[in-house]
Amino acid sequence: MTDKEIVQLCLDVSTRERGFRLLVQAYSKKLYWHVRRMVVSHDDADDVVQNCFIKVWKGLPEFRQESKLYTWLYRIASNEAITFINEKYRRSSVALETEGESYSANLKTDPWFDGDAVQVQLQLAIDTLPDKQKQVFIMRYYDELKYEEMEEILGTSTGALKASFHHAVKKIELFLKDNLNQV
Amino acid sequence: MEPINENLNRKLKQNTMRVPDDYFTNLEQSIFEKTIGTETEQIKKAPVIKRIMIITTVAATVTAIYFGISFFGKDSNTKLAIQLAEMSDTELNNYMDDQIAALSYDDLYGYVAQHVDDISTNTIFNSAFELPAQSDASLTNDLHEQVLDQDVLNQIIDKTEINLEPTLMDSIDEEILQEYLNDATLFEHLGL
Repeated sequence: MTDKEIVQLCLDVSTRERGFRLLVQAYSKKLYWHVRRMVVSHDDADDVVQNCFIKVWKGLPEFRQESKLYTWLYRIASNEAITFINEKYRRSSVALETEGESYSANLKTDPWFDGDAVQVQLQLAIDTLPDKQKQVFIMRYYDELKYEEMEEILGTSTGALKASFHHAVKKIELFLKDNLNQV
Repeated sequence: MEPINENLNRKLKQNTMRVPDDYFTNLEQSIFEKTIGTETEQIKKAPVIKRIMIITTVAATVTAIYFGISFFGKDSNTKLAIQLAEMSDTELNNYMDDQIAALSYDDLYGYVAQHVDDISTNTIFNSAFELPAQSDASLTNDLHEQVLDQDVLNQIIDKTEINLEPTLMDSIDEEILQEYLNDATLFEHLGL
């Protein structure tokens, strides 16, 4: 079923429930992985993605189809993840200088993270990126979205997105060079 | 795409994040429970609340009439509503049964007489319950036809026949009887 058909089902009160089920089945994995790469922890991603779909459900009657379905969903998910990360940092009592160590320790004990020391450093490197660069990097590199799609989701020009991605890659490489002997 | 160091690329692309078994099935279920499930629950709850409020209002009104005073003010009515809302279905049913059982025929008759204006109270009660010996003399033939159902009419006829002596029936002329039955004043004579 196409996104357009799903949207039509969602907008009709009599078929809204069926439409939403199809929407969740089509996008829960994609959005989960997008959110997971942003927030890293499985438990956090689980919370964020559920909140995201609750917002989608509540917002469906007002969805005007001015943007494509997946664009709208990614925007909600991405914003939810950023909001969550910022709130988490605000709540955290850990001092900035020990934040990296704490993050690293959490990842090593995370039962749903299998990475080695290098991959922990990689996650740390991504985590050091500013919000916008992190969003751009994850959407482009992991989710493999086109710049045109990202432009619609983030409301940023393709040129600015390319620049953000470039800076993100350079920062990650630099971070790893500084923190690891060999990558 | 921006070229990325090959080693870095390999490391980045390697998915090191796992999820619990059946996570996505459970995730979908959890989402449905928090969205569709919540709404369905609200839809189901609405009639129950509405029903409780109606029952509460009726119970409070009937009880007030029963005691002949406006026993329940707004505050007490709200309290009663809260009490009823906290009751289980069984408790609620028992409460309503008790309330109804406490009302006599005269209480109900009085309530209906006071609140139903568009039709004779006698008519309602006589058609719903057994006919009293003396009916409202002001009842018109048209009203009888509209209200009394066939079973009630049969009861009247049966009672009339039982009360008549067979010898008396034999002595009545057929034509006179027919004429008498066709007379519109018959109902008045019968007190109906």
